[in-house]
Amino acid sequence: MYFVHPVASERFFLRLLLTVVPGATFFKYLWTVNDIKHPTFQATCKALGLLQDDAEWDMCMRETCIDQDAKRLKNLFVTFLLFCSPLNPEVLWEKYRDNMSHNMRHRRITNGGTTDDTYNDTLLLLEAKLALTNKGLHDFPKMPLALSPVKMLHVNLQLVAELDYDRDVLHGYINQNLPRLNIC
Amino acid sequence: MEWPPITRLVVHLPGQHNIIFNENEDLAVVAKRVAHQKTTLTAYFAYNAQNADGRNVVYANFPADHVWKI
Repeated sequence: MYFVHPVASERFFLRLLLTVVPGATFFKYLWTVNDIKHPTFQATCKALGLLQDDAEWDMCMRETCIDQDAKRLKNLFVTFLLFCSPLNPEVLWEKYRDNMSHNMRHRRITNGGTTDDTYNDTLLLLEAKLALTNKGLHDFPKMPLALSPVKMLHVNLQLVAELDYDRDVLHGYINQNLPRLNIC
Repeated sequence: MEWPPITRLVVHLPGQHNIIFNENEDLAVVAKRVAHQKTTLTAYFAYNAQNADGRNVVYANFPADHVWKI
């Protein structure tokens, strides 16, 4: 059977079900557990006890809050979204959004913004980070969406990031450091 | 051609299987042709719907007793 990466979400959970449920007769057959019909393959996996809850990710976020700044926390959260398939990302978001928006709070609040504005700023940043891998918050149905997404999200951020190197600085770095390498 | 041919079991969501078509083909014709195309997965479902002997067998083990024919 073909491998399916967890990032493929529903398809991954479909595969997981196919490895444990015998004799399925149609797709939605797989959604029924003990006569209860579930709305998604993921929900069914959870009902069958095939998935852990998000405790692992929660613990990691909690520990990271202690000694890392909001920027690192956002990066971590994006990594979870992209590669760890958290069941309820919105719960993690609500729990740690204060920590994640900590660095924009001061600027926002002193300019007369509200706490919700800082959350929105944070969502926009998450959106931008996700865009680097051609994903967006809309790929995670339970996550809230940022209001008024900025225009830059319509350009290919991946391309921009690749073109964004300062070639002169990098050349200087190489010229400076290449002679310092040990030669065997 | 390799013999015996090796086919992997596909895993796809409803209506989202891979299809092969000629780039010159008319889109409507392609859509009509592939709408009810069988895959190893839908064939597995269809077999179980009509026969009882596969009811205890998971997808991955199904080819131990059954042959996929297009």
